[in-house]
Amino acid sequence: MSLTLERPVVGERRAETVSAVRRHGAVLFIYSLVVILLIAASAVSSDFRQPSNLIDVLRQSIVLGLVTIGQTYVLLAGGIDMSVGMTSRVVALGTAVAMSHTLIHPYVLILLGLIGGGLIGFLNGRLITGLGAAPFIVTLGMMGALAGTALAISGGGPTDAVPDFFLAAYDASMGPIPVAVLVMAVIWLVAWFVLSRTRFGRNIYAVGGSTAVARLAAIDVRRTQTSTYVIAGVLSAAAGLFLLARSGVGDPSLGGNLEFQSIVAAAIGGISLYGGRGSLVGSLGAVLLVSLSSNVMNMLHVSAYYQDLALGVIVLLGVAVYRPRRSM
Amino acid sequence: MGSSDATAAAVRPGEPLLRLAGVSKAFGGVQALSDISFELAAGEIHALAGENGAGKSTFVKLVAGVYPPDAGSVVLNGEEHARLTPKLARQAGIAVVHQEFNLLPELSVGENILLGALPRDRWKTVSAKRTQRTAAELLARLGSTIDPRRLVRELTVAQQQLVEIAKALAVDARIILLDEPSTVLSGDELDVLHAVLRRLRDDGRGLIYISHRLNEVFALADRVTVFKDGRHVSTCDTSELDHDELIRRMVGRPLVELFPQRHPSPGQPVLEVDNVSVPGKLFDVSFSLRQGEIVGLAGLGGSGRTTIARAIVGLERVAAGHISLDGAPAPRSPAACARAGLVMVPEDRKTHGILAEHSVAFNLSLPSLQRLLRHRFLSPRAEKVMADRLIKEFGIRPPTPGTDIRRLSGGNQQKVVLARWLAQSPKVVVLDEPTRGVDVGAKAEIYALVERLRETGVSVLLASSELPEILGTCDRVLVLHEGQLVAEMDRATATEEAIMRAATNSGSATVSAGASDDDARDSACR
Repeated sequence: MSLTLERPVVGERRAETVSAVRRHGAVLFIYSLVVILLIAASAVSSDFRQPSNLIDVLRQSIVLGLVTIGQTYVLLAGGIDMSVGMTSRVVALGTAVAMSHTLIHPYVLILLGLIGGGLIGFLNGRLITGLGAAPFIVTLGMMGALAGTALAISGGGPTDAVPDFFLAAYDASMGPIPVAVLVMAVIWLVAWFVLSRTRFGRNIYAVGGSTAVARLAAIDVRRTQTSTYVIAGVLSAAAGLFLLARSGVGDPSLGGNLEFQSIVAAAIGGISLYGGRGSLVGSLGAVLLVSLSSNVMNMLHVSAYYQDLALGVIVLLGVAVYRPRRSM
Repeated sequence: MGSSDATAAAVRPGEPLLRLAGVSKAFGGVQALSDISFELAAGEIHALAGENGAGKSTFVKLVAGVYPPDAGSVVLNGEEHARLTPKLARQAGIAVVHQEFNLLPELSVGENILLGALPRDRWKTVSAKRTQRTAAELLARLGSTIDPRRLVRELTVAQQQLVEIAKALAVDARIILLDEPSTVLSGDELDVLHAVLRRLRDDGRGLIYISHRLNEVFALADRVTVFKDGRHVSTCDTSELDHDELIRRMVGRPLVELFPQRHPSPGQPVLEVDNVSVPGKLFDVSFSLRQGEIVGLAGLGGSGRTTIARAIVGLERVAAGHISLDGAPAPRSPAACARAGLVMVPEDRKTHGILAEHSVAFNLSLPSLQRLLRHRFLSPRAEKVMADRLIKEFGIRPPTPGTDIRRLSGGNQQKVVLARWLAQSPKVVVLDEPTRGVDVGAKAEIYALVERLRETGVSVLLASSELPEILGTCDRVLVLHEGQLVAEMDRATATEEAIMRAATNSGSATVSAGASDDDARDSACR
């Protein structure tokens, strides 16, 4: 409705504050949950509050973190990427097979794996923007195609073991902190910085908010959207390679539930599934929350089945908390 | 399905079907209707005339029970309703045929007509046969032979409209409101519609008919009521009026001190539109816009006003002709146009103008990010400085860049959209309905901004349905009628009456009221 209500100009500063709280409400909520969970679990379990366990939580958050960053970019630009999990699987299996069956230097293969992930994302982006097709369907189709590819690569069983140095990268640490955790922290920072402090980041928000507004503001909508899928593809590939380094062999079930988990993490982190709203700070909180709760559940010997159930319940609760506000 | 005979019997002879007494409705500070009285008798077609913003739509929504009135009462079939709801209105036999149809394209005609009361057989499943038969009967009463089994999406617009009217019959509506039903129709289709409506009238129903085509008002309606600025001006038999008198009643108003002093000093042509056509919407339109000139685009809804605006910034595919900017072909994509200094402020602010979820600063800086980069990264400080400057310059309230833009009033949102482009120093600004949904105070500020744009050498094309706005701000007026440019007037010679006459194609005095649209088109001046 286009009714104009000249609001009384009372407490202009308050309006600004209200806006800020409303915009960051989801973020505040998620971090308070993280803190509550940290305190509660530390109080209950002495194993939990061991520094080594807390560092482990961080290390376990890396895979979901990488994929969620990519998913967040895509969602903010108004899309969705269902193929992130299968991208990581195909890249991991493909790299593992190449490492044991070719003489190409492993570093080159890792680079090729990342490029491959980017290409998958590029294909997603071009199909979506070029055909004007629904992102959900295109990436779902891609997910199916990649799942088949993964089976073809691996023949259904685990691949040969990967070189030792690759495993060593997983365990490398600087003092008590694993290098992987430090690198991940840098990735979060850079991803946040790009979103909030570059033109590209602004364009993502604008495109996700309204393609019409963005187009009139001289923003290349297609390129912006395609770029977000490329980013998601590269980060998914990185997640796949990290999983490979963790397990040492190419597990054909790797990356199975990542699309679900990443969308969940973004959603409970306050990223609007309609695009244009939310921040990576919220996504990070959600990723930490998911990793923490799965760590706690592991300690309580809750089976993996129930962990998925719990994640689903968190989503439903999250939906209830952030009911989409009705537009005026 | 309605209780047909019961409702009909409830109407005592001499008692109007519908009576509004002293009805008022305000939205926020804007008085949409004040102290309106209105009567609809059984067996009459009552036309409602008035400019955009006169309160016609609000009136329709009031009668349909969508809005409760602030004051006054609505009397239906002799029964007074203080709080009419859509459900009550329906039960009382009111149906509204909207400009945009409420039809389900993938369902059959019959299903659409009887939706909500589909006949069932003894197995409680929908009976296709009875649906068909009932729908066919209803359509036959309208003199139509549309096959009820066809899908709505296969029908022409005119046929869809008949389906919409048949829906009103299906619930046995005694009062039917038609909101600009003819905008989408032409020639023969119009005759068919008129025949249908006369049939309904002779059936003892009351019809409220809203149309911008004045010829139609005279051809069809028994009585006509004129609204202006939310007030009732007059009600009389159509035979007591002529065209000019009706137009005078619609537009004659005291001109408020809304508009700034104008200082026109047009320079070289900047934008040239040559023989541009957009299939089905725009036919062979040519004009030019000079530097520092404000040109108005006037015309009724559907006349192609918005289409031109959109075509110029590359939002509409131009089938023939060309557009040039500064002598070179204008870019054909909105993004390239914006970079070349050809920008548009669209009509639908909510979906095309602002990013509601973001702050004022975010919305202000959208097209200016390039200038906020420090070492390739956005500088929040530079953004704040720019936002503060624009907020101050444009009088945006509240003056806090961090506020969500959706918390601002419509007028202030529009100021943000304008300020965004002014910060870009564009060459040509296309404004489509810049003051829609904006209160009077903000309107004056927006007009002042437009004048300021011009003073900095910017050329402005202003498409508007509000004639005073066009007359108050523009140096030249282009009038469109059904996709064609039918008149061009200088500020000195343009009057609301003249524009209205050209826009409704009542033409100059030589074109008689009864002339068909085609005749009028041929005789229109270029």
